[in-house]
Amino acid sequence: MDKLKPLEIRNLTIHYMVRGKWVEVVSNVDLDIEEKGEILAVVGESGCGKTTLGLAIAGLLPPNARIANGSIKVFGKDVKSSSTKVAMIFQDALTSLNPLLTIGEQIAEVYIHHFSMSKREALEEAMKRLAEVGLPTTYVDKYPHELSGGQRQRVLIAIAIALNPELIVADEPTTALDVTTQAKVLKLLRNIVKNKGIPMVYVTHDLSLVAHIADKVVVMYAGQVVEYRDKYSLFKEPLHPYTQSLLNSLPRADLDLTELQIIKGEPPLPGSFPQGCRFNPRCSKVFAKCLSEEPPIKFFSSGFVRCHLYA
Amino acid sequence: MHSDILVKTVNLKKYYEVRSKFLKRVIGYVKAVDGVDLEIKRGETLGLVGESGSGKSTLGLVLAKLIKPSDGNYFFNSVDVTYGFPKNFRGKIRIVFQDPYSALNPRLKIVDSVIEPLIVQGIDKKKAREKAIEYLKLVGLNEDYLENYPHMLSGGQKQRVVIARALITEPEFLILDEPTSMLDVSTQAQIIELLKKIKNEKNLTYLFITHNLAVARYLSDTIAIMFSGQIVEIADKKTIFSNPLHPYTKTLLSAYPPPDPSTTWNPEIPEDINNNTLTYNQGCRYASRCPLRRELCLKTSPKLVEVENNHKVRCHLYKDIT
Repeated sequence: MDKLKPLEIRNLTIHYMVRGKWVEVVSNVDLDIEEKGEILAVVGESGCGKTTLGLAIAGLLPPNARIANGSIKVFGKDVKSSSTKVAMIFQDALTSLNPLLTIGEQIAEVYIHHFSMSKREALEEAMKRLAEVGLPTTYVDKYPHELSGGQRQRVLIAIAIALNPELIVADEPTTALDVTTQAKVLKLLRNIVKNKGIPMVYVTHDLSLVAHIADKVVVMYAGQVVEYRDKYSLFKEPLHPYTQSLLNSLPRADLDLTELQIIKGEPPLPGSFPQGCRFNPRCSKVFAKCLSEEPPIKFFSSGFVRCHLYA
Repeated sequence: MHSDILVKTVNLKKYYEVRSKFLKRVIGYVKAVDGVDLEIKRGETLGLVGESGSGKSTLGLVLAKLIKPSDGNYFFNSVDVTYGFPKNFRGKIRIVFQDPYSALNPRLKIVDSVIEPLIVQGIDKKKAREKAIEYLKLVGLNEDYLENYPHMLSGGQKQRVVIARALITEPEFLILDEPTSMLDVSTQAQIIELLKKIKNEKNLTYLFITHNLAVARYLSDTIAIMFSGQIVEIADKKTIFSNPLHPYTKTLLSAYPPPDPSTTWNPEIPEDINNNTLTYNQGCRYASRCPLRRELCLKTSPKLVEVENNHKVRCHLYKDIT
């Protein structure tokens, strides 16, 4: 029997309703997480569809979105069937938490609703989760506004792991934090995921973090996956011109650079993706074929790339 | 009388009063900027790095003359501008904010936003418009954008407009308060390169406020690290990165993940034992987080001292931790 994969996305296309029309936001995405405890980073700029993809995996697409085609399976079960256990960690901890409930109540909620525990039992479990994310157990009685940004993000992690999820989707969980706090929270998140063997989809625009937290990396551009590689090959030898330019456009704190590579123009908006390769108006290696034909996917041992240069 | 130093502050302070709920009595102060001595040379870029709440933006606002300092002096071009501002300096100090989405009036056309500083100075609208075209071109936007409204522009384009508006009064000193932190990676690179180009063309002096060490390293000549209202370390950028002395600088540097998976990234971030910004002990501000704190650090506040050529650090222990 085939081993069930933690995450299997096939030919996924997502549409959004914008002013009475369906607009394609995510196009024909194929993705897998092969192992338990694997961290898959989804990288891209705003509007590339990475957040939509994350929401779809968590089964949290808003009402004005639809899965037009394809499937998302978590351990063989379709996310639409609502029998999957996927936890989501959002960027903004302050709006994710209810300001009127104590931290303890918000973690306990998971146990009361999902495991039918009594409130007392649930609060005891909540204290254990707080300890796991490195917060004092006395914080069960605190309210979100009494906590710092990093502490709130830890609470979100506690809530996410309380469900004992099969998969975690984290959408830019540290973007709003200071560098030092970010480092602490990320270290914690990575340790928890690895120790518990929970697979994670980590959505971010920050390539520097990806280099350290991910196992595999997906680069998205204009709704498509343009490159999918294990992180070592991606950073050592990026294949897609977009990935190459992105890496060369990063300022570095560990190196003196004389010039940053500029990707001219702006990413296209959903609904107005260019013909042929969607990156062609900004690509420095563009040639005739790129303007007319959609590039095919070319597979390598380290992953795949969607570009005419390798076809 | 052109002096080499364009911007100089002496013991600059900005305190905010904290009042009680009842009777609104002053019960304490938030020392957002607490005794900052800075010198920025003409043509230099000073990178001001710190975490949120360190007072870096407040310092930027004081230097932009948008808020009054509580104490201390601010010299611009060797003239004391702490309280007044001579008329011939108008438009010589400008600021660019982080959020281009809220920096532009949504009901004004791009051209009207850009020429506003000139209109305020009483310049004829037609002349101002010509200048707006020139400056929009400088930041990489053509004439087509003149009659557009801000919502028709992307974040990167809005930031270009904001930069054009800042430059149109021909400033000598530009304060950039996290101008790229809300932008995407590719747009960030565009804006950074633009700022670099403009600085050379117009011979500007920058104060670049950021929490991003990588951007600071790329753009700055000198880097000042700010913590809790004070400069804790300042040196040219090479020195800061090759020989950081203050424990906070070291922590900041270790927290930065290089975009290269073959390097190890295992930051050691010390826990804070006291998280109340309102209580100031007499000792070092960083003592509650410092892994190397000693008795002395809790009792007396360290001074910013020069330990080598142009490298100053505010720490009792710098000799022991090199």
